[in-house]
Amino acid sequence: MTSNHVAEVIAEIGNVLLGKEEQIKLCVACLLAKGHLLIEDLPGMGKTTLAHALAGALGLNYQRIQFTSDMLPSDILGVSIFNSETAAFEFRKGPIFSQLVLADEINRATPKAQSALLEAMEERQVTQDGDCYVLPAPFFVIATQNPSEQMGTYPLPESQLDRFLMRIHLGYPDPAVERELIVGIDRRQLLKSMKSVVDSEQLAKLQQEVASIHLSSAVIDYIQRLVGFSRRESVGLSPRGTLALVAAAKAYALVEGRSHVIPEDVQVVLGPVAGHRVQGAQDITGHAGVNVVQKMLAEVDVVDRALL
Amino acid sequence: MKVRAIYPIPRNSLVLLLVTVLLALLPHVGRLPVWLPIVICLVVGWRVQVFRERVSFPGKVVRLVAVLISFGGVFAYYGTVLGAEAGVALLILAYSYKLLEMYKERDAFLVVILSYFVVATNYLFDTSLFSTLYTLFVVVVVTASLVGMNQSREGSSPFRALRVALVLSAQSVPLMIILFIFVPRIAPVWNLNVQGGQAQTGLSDSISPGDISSLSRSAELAFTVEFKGGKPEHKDLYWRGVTYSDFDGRTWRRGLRESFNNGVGVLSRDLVRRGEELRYRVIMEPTYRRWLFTLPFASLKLSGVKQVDSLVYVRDEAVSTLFSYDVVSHLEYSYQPGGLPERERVRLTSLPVTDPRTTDRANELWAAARGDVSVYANAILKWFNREPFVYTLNPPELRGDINDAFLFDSRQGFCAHYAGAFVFLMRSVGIPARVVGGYQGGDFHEAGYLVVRQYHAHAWAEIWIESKGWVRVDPTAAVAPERVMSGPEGATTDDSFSLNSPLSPLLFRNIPFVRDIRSKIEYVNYLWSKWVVGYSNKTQMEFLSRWIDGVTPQKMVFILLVCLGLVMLLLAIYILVERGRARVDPIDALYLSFCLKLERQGLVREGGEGVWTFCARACLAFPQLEGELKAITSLYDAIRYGDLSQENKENNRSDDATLSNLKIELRQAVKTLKFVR
Repeated sequence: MTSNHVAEVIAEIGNVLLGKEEQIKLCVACLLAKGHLLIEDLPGMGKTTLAHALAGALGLNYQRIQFTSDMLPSDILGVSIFNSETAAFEFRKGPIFSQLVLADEINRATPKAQSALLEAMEERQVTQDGDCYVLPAPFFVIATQNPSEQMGTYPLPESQLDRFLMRIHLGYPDPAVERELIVGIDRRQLLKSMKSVVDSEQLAKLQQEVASIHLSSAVIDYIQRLVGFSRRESVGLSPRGTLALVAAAKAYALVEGRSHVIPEDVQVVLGPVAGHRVQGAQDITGHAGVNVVQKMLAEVDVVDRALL
Repeated sequence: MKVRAIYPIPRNSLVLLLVTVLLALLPHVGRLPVWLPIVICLVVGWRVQVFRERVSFPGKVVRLVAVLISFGGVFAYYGTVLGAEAGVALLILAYSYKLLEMYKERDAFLVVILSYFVVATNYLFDTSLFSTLYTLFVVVVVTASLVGMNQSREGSSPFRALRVALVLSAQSVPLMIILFIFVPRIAPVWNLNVQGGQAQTGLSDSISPGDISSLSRSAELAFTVEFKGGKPEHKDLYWRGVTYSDFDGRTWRRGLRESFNNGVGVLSRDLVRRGEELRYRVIMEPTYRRWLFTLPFASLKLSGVKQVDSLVYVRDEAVSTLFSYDVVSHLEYSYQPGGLPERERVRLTSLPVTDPRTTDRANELWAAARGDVSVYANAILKWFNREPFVYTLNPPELRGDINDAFLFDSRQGFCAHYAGAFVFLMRSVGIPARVVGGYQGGDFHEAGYLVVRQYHAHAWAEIWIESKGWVRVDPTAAVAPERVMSGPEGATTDDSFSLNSPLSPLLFRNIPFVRDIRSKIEYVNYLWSKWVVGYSNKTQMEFLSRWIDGVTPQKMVFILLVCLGLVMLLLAIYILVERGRARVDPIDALYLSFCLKLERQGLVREGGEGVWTFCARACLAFPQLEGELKAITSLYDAIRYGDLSQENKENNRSDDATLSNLKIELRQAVKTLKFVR
């Protein structure tokens, strides 16, 4: 069964990244919903490990781009070089031409380079010298940024944050988990020995399956109440944000092995999906957005009790 | 023929529409010429074949020919194309032909509107309770087909349409009642003379032996009477309606003077009234005649009604609808005891020169009575009583001089024969006399009113005696006293008082159960006639003045407006309130009641808590109920969030069934959830 595949993927990644099951699920859900992921955390929390493990478990080819302030778009997308043998320009594909791209410290690059990446993420293709180069499918970007070190960074504008389906935090591990890290084998070794659980064809099938997850009107009502609430409280979710919420909830339901969405799915993905979209999201610490989300979760009733 | 259907009629609702057409036409069938229902069936059949795409719509020529032929047919049958009956027949034809032109949605709407009209025309002929109930049913069906045509093509279902129509009709009932009670009744300025087949019953302008026989067997209602206060005895129930004073040798006719009476009325010096007065109200079925029926001596004050010399009441217009009037009667009275005007005396003693044997016998008896009118009359009655005269409703035909033939040869006859012969015997010796037609007797219903039917029709005689005035003599009583005491059933010794219709109420009249049911039905019909059909300007005033002082049309309009305003206000409040609140899904309500149960145990669900999160918390609080809690939550999950829920378009019937089973299960589970401490 396909849901078994998902469970296997999560178990496989869980072997490498300990104690972060929730984040792994969100991550997989984000991938299944064909969205991109923004991980915001301090260095050394396992962002790269997570991306790497995901690529390994899903059998995706993986590229890492380290963003720096002197980066140019061609460093990401690729460059046309003159081939003297054929006497013609030849496009050399950049690191973005892989199924899973880890864009490390995205806020360190200039807006120009950021835009190049974000445009490619949205279009799923690269246009260079009038030629179009389609990016591989599935195409999944995990971007990371460091929230605490603001010096010399170019924070992503709100409109570009919107391109990421989810923004998650990894957070510190539990003491027990940390102890395991200390005594256990090197995670990097484990990464190398990871075997892929699904191939890209199965992955595409899983992505298709997300669309067929049933979303009942009761849950739609709940989502609309949430969205309405966010719009009353602050600058709320845009329609794209609503669609993102729906897609993420459906994918999360699939990750949970359910054929229909329940409000808990929405609640789990609400923080990652809406946190960087509601007002205050430009605040790199994201606290304002998180506050709105907390309020939404607490105050919007799951069961409509309008009459009572 | 090609049809460019821009807004084609939804196929599902078309079936309903065809059924509607047939239902609307059904009550008319009995009144139409025989060929007309056949035409309707052919037309509907054609339309059904078009619907099944077996044949196409008829062309212009066919339609034109059909219209012309049926126009001719209606004219041939009724002799006119005007008037209610022919008009309705034409309407029905046009209505059914419209089906063959019904290409587009617009045409179908036209047919629906016409259906309402066709249903309404039924009231021209029949206002009985059952017909009204049927009509209301058809109105609901017509509305349903209107609803059906406005349903979306995918979502059309005849039962849903019917339900919507029922709700709509039910909503209009209060308005209907208010309008019925308060709208001022204005008598129509036109007079639609719908005769129908009903002219056959009732008394006629003339009476020649043979007429009343056919009448006697009809159990149709003639009129009902409500007595206010005392009731008269059965033997006094002579309902005078019409007097016949002209005899041409075969037929007794109403006097010309009576027909063209100028309404001078009765001179009070000619009249002496004694005894107690009797108050009653007569509710008369339409007779399409002008006379009214009363007990003697009747005082009746009503505009458009006048009393003629012979003390019967004549109305300016024929009674073509249910008609009621209040009467005060004095059973003991004497009229014109002082003497008759000479012209009257001559008129009331004139006879053609016929019936020599009867005249001889009259002179013989008159001589024996030595000029005493009472003695003479009694002698005649004795003669009727002693000789083998037979009271029968099937007398043989009388040839030649009818009185001679009756009195000396056949000696079989009914009231008209005896009354006619008696008056002839009186007049031939110069005693003023006349035949009176009307009804005798009636059946007292349990509810206290009197039902007079067509078979109570009767004819008797009135003779004028010096110093006594007019005296009623019923010669039939001399032959068959039971006729007067108990009605026509008991009077006939042969089985001539039998049925001429298989559904006659006279059938099974001796079975108590059938009798009981019939009398109940009659009672309901009576109330219906009295309060609904007979709700006229006068009864309206009477009814309303129970609550309102001094009913005026202005006041009624005011009340009407107030009522309508109230209805509007209530509607407005309802709409505003309804708009203001969203409806709770019944399953949500059920789940909330489950939450309330837990709340009473001290476990409150947070607003933003999902059902499974809450379930997990509840399971921690009540570990012994884990199974039940999880069952309820998963049922709720399946019903509200699962892909079985109603909005899933791919669901089929079995899914629906599963869903409703789940709902029942959830209801049960929530109901049986118990906390044991």
